[in-house]
Amino acid sequence: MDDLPEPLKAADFHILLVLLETPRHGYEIMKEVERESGGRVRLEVGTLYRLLARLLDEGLLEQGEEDGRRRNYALTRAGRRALKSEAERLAGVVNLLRVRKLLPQGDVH
Amino acid sequence: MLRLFPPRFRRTFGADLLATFEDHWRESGWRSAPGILANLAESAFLERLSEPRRARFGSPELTARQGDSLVMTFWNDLRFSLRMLRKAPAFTVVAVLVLALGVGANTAMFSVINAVLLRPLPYQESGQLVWLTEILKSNTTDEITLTPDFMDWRTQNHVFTAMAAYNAFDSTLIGAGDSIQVNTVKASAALLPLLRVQPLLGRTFTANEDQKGNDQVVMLSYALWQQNFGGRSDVVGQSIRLDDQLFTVVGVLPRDFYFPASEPVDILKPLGKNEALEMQRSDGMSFNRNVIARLKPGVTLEQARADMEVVQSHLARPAMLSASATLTVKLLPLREHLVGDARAALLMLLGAVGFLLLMACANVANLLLSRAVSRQRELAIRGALGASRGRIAAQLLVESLALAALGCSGGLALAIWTRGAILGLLPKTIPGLDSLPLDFRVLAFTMASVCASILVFGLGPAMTGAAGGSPSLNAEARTFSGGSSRQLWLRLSAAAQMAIAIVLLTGSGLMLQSFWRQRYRDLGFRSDQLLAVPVHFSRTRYPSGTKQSEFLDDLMGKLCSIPGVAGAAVGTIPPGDFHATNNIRIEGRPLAAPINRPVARQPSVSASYFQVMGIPVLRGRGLLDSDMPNTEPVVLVSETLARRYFPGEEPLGRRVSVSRDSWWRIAGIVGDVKTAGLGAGPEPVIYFPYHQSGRVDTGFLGDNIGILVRSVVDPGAVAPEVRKRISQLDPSISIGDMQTMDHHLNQSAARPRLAALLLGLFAGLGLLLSIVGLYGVMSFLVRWRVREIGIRLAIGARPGDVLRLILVESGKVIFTGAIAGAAAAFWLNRLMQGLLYGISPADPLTFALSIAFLSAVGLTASYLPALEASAVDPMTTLRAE
Repeated sequence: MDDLPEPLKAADFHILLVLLETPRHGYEIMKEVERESGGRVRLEVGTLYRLLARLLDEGLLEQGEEDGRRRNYALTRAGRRALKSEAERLAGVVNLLRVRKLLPQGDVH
Repeated sequence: MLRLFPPRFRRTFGADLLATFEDHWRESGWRSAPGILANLAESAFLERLSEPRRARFGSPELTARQGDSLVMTFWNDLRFSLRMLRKAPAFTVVAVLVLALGVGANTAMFSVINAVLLRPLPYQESGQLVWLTEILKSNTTDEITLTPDFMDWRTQNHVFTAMAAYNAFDSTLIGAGDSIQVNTVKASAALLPLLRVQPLLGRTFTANEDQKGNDQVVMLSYALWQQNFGGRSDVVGQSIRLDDQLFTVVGVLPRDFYFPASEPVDILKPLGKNEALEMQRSDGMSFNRNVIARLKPGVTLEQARADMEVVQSHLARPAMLSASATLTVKLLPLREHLVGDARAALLMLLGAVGFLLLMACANVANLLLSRAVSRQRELAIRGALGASRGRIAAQLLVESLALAALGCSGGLALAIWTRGAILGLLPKTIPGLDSLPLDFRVLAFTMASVCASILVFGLGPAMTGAAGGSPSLNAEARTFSGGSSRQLWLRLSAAAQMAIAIVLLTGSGLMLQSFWRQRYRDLGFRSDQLLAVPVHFSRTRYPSGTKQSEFLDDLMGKLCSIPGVAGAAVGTIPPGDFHATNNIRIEGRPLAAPINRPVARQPSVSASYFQVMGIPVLRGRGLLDSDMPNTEPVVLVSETLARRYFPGEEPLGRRVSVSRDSWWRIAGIVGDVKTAGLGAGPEPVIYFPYHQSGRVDTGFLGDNIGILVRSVVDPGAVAPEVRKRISQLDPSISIGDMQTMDHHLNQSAARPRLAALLLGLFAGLGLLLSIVGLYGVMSFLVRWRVREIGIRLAIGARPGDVLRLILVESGKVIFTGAIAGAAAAFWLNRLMQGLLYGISPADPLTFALSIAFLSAVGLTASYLPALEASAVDPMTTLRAE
């Protein structure tokens, strides 16, 4: 039971997701998360930084170099792993749902 | 905003967060500002909460989950509560309004108390400042200090660093074209150093200038300097003309200087006493109305009192005092002297708003209770789904908390909003009322009152939660069969509100009558259509009594010829503000010891005074124009003088004396007038005709005389013409604050009026709350018993019986409340004794009327629920089972 990863929270998952390709700074993360989630996950400034603080604490993110006053945030190796295992978990869930015919075979929106 | 976050968080993210915030702000604009800011505050709050835990455990895995669980539970509860409150807008609005009213009234009242009683006076180390006076215990208890005694105090005490005396009076500042009346104070040179005040320009007085003859110097107030001297700095060294004398300006007082007196002061003069002559303690010695001193560091008021009593006991006795006379010394903290009787009134009002808050809480508790009952199903479902009773109770508590927070913000807003109105209402004679700061004390008080209210109104639902047992989904749960303790609680709460309403109603009833009696009863004269014109009369221009009489005769003639004027007179303008202490002697009686001699106020008036004022001549005759210097000297005496000094004797025809060799025959007795203040009893008065007395002074200090004009039209309409005629006759005469007598009286009664007004307002609100409370409880009880009522109706009770049943029920509640309230009021109103004039705190009529009124209103309010009960359709009720 111990090494079974807990599911990531939706907001955490989206933050990690938008950092997968490139490090970004705070405001970019906000905008990207909102865009990629289709507006379902909206982070206000305060919430965003609380989440960033926790993700840094948990070692899933690291602070990159400074760009003026702004700082970039990037995935760590652990972050990448957490994202991957969450993705696998989700894929497993989707498969299960397809088997149970709750979702159609093929594309998922 | 960033400061709200814990330091560690701030260090790591501060600049970056700010940059992001700015980007976001730029893009979304101010429209979303509230959301962003609220979110920031919320995040900061949560971050702070989880901070210690995170630091303690160190391990990130542990902290994130565990730290969040407690905080987030609370947070989720809060969000859920707010959602629930939003879903019941009527309930929320009423509850928040009622709470805001209670908290707002308390905060506003407390901010006044804070400004008047708690904030330090605007002087350095003002706690060391003490006000001193001698009390002359004889027929009166005047608080005045003999100048030689003041001088001895100053040199012989061991407890003060400095001592200063001052006296206020009016004088006329004669400018280039016009003359204006200015408030002047003669003060010891030591006063400003004692208060630790530095002049804005120039210097303060020197000790030498306290001596008569060296005292032709003045200091100007900042306001006078700005208005009449254009704020020019070369004013120092200039000469100004005050009352026909020249004075040199030596300094200007700072802008924020507050003089320790009831009115702002325009001009400061040295005390100017002939100290060598005063020390002889002859009949010519003068006295001072105010002495203040600064305690040495570390000396308490008690030590100072003890020291001063020793000093006082060693003073030389003035020759004019008899062996039996006592001159005692009294010390008060300066603030206490300045605030005076305002303290008692303010504390009484705070008590009243405290009651109001209690009622507001009881009302909210009832609302919560009736809501809890209608939510029983919801709670039962949540219980069935596994929520423990503790969880549900915690959630309900958070809901109360959210309600309290909303009420608190509303109350604070209400307090801030009404601040301007309160400031406008308050008389300016109470120090510290130039502003009402909402400082930490006020905010702390508000928080405390909110906490107290949560305790009170949270108690109800909590208690019923315990009494009702665990909620069940059973259908029986909806009929509340086991709710007898709840019913009792509700009835008690309604009765308690009735009781508080009685306390407030009787209190305000008493205050109102007291004010009414002060302002309107026993005035002794007709105050309508009367114009009061205080004028400053130059002694140097009219040195002799004959000159003064000639001028006044002339003036009366001129004023009487104004169209619309029925008559004009010279004399005192009532009410005065102290009792007279001038001795008189009655012919044929042995000379009593000076301290036991009869005293009387001794104004000189024109013959027309009594007719113009409407003071009745009870016996004998009035003053006549023929009472001239060459006829026999006559006086009129007041009813009180006749009764007090001629008990069982005929005063008419007897002679009295006020100085060595002049005897005046009593020609008539006139009605009493409130000459010693609206709140004081009648006093002995002797009225002299000014033609014979050769003097026209009416005040104690200064040279003011009163002119009274009775008009047949609105007195305000003749005022400009009166002013014009006086100036035409002698432009050097300065006219004071010309007012209609009614306005003048209203000003004199400003404090009792304000107290009555505010208490009346609070009583009105209390009545409203108690009625709403009673209505709520009664209609709730009816709904509660709807099944029982249905059955009663089904087995043959008539609607009239049901109506009577419910009315009797509420009658019991009202009766219990009224009895308890009357008992409480009887006990509490005694505390108001000192504030009441001419009415007993246990006035039976006030009590009876309050109870009758509240009962009538209460029964009317319960008529609606009773009607509802009698209209219950038995079939519907029974079918619902």
